Amino acid sequence: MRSPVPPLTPWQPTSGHDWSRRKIGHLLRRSGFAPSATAIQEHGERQIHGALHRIFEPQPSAGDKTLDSIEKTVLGTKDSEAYAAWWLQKMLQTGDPLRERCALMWHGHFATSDAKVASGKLMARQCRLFRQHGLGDVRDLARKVTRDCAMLRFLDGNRNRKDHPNENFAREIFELFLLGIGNYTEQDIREAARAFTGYREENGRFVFRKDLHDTGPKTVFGKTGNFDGDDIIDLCFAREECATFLARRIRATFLAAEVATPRYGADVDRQLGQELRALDFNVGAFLRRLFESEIFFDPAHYRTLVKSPVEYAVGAARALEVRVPADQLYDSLAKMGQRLFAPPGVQGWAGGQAWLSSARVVARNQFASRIVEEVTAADEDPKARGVRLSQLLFDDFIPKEVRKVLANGKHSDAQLLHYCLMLPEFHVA
Amino acid sequence: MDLNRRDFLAGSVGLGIGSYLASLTLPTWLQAAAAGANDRFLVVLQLTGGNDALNTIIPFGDDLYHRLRPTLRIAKPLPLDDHFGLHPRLGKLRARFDAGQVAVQHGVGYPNPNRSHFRSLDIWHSASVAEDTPLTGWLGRAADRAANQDLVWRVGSRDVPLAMRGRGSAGAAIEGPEDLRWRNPAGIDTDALVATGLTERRAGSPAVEAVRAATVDAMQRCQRAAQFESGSSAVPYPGTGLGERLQLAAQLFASRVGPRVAYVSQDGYDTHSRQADPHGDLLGELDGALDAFCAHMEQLGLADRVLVFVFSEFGRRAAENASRGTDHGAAAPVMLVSPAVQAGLHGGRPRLDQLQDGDVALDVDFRRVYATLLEKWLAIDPIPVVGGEYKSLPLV
Repeated sequence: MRSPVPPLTPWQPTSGHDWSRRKIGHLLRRSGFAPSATAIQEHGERQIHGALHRIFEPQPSAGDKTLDSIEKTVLGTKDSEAYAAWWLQKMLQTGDPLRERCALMWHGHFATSDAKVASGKLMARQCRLFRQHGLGDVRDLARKVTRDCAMLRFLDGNRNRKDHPNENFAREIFELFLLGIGNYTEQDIREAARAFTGYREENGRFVFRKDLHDTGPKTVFGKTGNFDGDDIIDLCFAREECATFLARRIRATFLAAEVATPRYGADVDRQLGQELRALDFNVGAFLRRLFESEIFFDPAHYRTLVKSPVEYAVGAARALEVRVPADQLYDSLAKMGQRLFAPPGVQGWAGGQAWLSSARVVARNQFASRIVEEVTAADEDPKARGVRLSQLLFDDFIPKEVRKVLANGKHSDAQLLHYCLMLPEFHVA
Repeated sequence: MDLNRRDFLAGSVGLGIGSYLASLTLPTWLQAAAAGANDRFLVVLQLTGGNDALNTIIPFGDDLYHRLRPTLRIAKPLPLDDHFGLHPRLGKLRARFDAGQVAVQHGVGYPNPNRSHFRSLDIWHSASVAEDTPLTGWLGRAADRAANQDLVWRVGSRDVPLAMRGRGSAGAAIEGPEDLRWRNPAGIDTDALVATGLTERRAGSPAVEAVRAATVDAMQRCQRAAQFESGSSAVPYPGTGLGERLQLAAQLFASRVGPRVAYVSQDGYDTHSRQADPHGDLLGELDGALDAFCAHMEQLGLADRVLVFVFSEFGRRAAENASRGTDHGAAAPVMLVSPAVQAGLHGGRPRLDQLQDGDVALDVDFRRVYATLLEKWLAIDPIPVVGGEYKSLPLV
């Protein structure tokens, strides 16, 4: 048997034609949302390096400028739906979709729900944290999360006092945020909880209350010291399991639900974790390596991710260049199972095939049937329109019979679009 | 039989989408979900606000009741035995009691009662009395345990209660029948979509294949739901909010479109002042809707497999207040309605001579009722779901 290929081996085009329509579509869907015709053209111009340059050094769009100018006002709103609508508007219009996709990933990873936090302001501030730092050093992000007011409310930080430690937060840091089940003991949790005593949210601000902090020695992962919360984060990141765990999250979001080929060895997540660590846990740098790697462009990983409702709906609007009011979009997404700032539990959204329960698929169809009413009918021959949609939405990669239906010229614009948006290929990235 | 596109085209002339869909070969996991011919169904009916249980299942044989309730007492309830009677607005429920379809468990609650609606609902939903409310609820954990995303649906509202939240899933929420309609305003040729877009299996792409199968399944469920929507008129439901919600639950069960458990609520039970008429109206709405639902299940031949569990986050104080209402209380009876129950009144009578802090004392921990429903009705191991060993009750 051939020895495994390191997963992040750079992908090498064998000719200029290798930067194909299919690869461009794959990269843009994964690093953002389903692309518009213009985006496809722009990212196709200067081979993969030109495309990566556009993704990682993006130009703000006109929409970015307008939305950024009103963000402060929205941040102060009591109701979390206001910032959610602003955020959706941002996803619809931004020239930097990767930032929003990363923020969405962290929102699901460090899952916090307004159902318990009950403060639009604090939820918005947490989202801003993910938007600002989501592509940076994830160690830094984790430390900031331990001081995040929404998180402190969600996981009972204020109940965690020297005389009465509360393990909720420490447990989730280990189990759901940084290590994964099986990589710590109950004793580790009890001791780590003591390190976070005194971390509190008071009147919407983070405070560290020394008088409530346990200054005694704690033993975590076999190491003893007078640890505080930052020390616990450092102790987690010192362990290989932490990098593996985070790499798994990034892989499941941007590469594949499961690595679909033995070509890269049996322990891809661990290898990716080592790369993440070698890049000083910088998520942006890691994603750049991923997006130009062999494993990323491996045909085994084409269309392996079921789109989340946000990816599906925002992608449809961006690809077809349709205006969708953000408040309506918010409601539609809730029906599809992804109400922003209200993930179902501490584990975030289950994702993958869990998006496909019947009520959720019905809601996707309702969204599709409504959005096509908003599209300005194309002034184009229906046959040509069908051919163009096949390229735009599917990289021409759909069963031959389906392509024939699209190109038979018998359908109205709305019919064609609704048909396309309900084809299974449009629901995967 | 595996139908490929050519067979379809050859044999499909004049076939409607329904018969076509019905003939599709479903993946095994969908077959298992669709089959379930012997599944049992549960309605969890939450009377939100704290129902005045002493004026619902009335201990009219107890002199103390009449003294504690000088203006609110119901002098002549519909007798269940020589001690208890139902509120006069619960006539249909009384008939079902007489027919052996109602089990009442007295004195259900939790230790150290908390009179906040929110806190009390959190306790009932999470099945935990811990100071820090868990982030998951009993039905959500049951769904986790059963590995069934569609175990519980919220019916008649978009708000998914804590009770339904699992570690990773919160079921679905259906507000009204429109949430189960396959919209097609542009009039796409649905047959063509199915024939070409959805028939061909996507070999080599499990994700696309999963979406394809789920889409076919969803269309099929919508169609079944539509059939039952039009076919359900044989049993008239009262035109009340609760009537509509229970009708929707009936439709979901009958068509096997979604969940095995429907979470339904009826709001308005927080009756602090001049409660006599509004409380009677609420019970009247409950009586009419519940009876129509049961009759509908009988008509469909499902009655033995459907159970309605009625609870409220607390009862109310034994003594009425100065505003002819009642304030937040503690333990209270819960009700199970189905021909499959062990009918009758279970548990000790409320001791109005031994009130604790003005309330009827706790007799049965609410988690024993959950354990009973999980173990005896839904066949889900209750121990990990309820969080410990709670002895089941002889109610089912």
